[in-house]
Amino acid sequence: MNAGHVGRPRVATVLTARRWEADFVNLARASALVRVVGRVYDADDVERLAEQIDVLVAGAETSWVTPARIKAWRRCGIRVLGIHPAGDEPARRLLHAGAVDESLADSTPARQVLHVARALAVGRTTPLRTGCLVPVVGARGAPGRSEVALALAWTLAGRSRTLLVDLDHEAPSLSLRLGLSPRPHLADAADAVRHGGELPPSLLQRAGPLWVVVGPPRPETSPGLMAEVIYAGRGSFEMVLLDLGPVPGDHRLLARADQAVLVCDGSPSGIVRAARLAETWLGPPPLLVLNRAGGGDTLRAVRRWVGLEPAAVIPYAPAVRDASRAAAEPPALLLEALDPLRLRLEERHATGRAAGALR
Amino acid sequence: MHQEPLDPLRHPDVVEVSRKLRRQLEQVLDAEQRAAAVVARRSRTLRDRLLDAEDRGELVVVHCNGGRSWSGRVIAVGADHVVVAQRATDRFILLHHVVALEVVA
Repeated sequence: MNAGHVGRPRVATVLTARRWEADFVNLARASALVRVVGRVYDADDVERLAEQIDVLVAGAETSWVTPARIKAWRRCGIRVLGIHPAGDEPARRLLHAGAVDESLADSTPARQVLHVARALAVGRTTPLRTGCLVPVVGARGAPGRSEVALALAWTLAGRSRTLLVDLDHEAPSLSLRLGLSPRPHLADAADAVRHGGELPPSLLQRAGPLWVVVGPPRPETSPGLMAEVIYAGRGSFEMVLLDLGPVPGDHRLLARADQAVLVCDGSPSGIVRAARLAETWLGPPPLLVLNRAGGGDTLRAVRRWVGLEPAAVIPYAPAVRDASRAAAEPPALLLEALDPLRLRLEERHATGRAAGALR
Repeated sequence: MHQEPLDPLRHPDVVEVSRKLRRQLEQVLDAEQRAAAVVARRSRTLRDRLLDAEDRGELVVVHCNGGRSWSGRVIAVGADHVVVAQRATDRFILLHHVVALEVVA
């Protein structure tokens, strides 16, 4: 509990066109009973401001106020006061599916909402540990993202509860690669998360030690729904790996990640493409995997062009290709090559946790 | 052999239509929220922003007419003045002297 803010708690609202929010902010400013530290209109801003918010007042009319996000905010230690349109039972149920601390109808007088927000601030809780989010990305041209993501998840799953999500919209190949059923897929998982805020095990598939959400055959899942699946996954898994496909370096999921892995193909065009991706990179410092590496010149070229020291180097090996075509588990050679990367990830994750990182 | 009756709401076409409708509803709600953000910015005054700075404990630079500027934290906003706390002093600045506000952190 953050006792320093009990006197004048720090409250943020989710900005909305509905009357209740403006009334609440105006009264809060006029009465000075609470400090209004933000009127948030982007979902990511709540996470960014998490350490500065005691209570979040959020209306169910906002599309991104969902059970999965409410649970994620509460894991960050934020108390959530939900507001629903008077008489709108589905909206009230949505708030309670996310386990809001309190819910009120939007017809409630602003003064009462303010007093409830103040009362909630007294009980601000300690942030809970959430799963580490690790997107695996790479430039266009099949540098081996999916195979690296799968092998890395496989090796991590031996030590911690790990979820692998196929978010490669252009070629969602994990179901084919692992010989899994095409359904349930990401869109099915997103539907369930939207209703209950949790990832039900019945919508996940097992592959060896791993839990997997396979990609849908068509890119029908909105970025918001994908984010919710990830929020829910981080609530129940220690490691959440994303096979993110060929995305730009300023992709939103990269900016939100705890760690990131950049896969670089050892060919000249692969190195140049990876260098271009690294130039626009806005995520955490990437751990570089050099795939299908040649001789010493390749390593020098990668250092010079990409500007990163590889955390793992995978030599060209037909066994890797054969395993991927036979829907077999990742070959031992690949798992061994990625072991230094696994150690770096676990080490960074432990350091981040020790530093009290909220993400 | 007993078979469960087919739930018509789980027909793939119905699921697909419901997803499409949900996406459309979300687009409408998002547009509504963006409009609310624009309205909030349009109706905001400099005094409102100073109140935000006080509530957030932001470090600011207040530029006044005459070319002088004062940096520190906003610790109070009165009806006609703002108080900026510097190292050893609290500076009271008339609101109508403020020409710009710069948020440092």
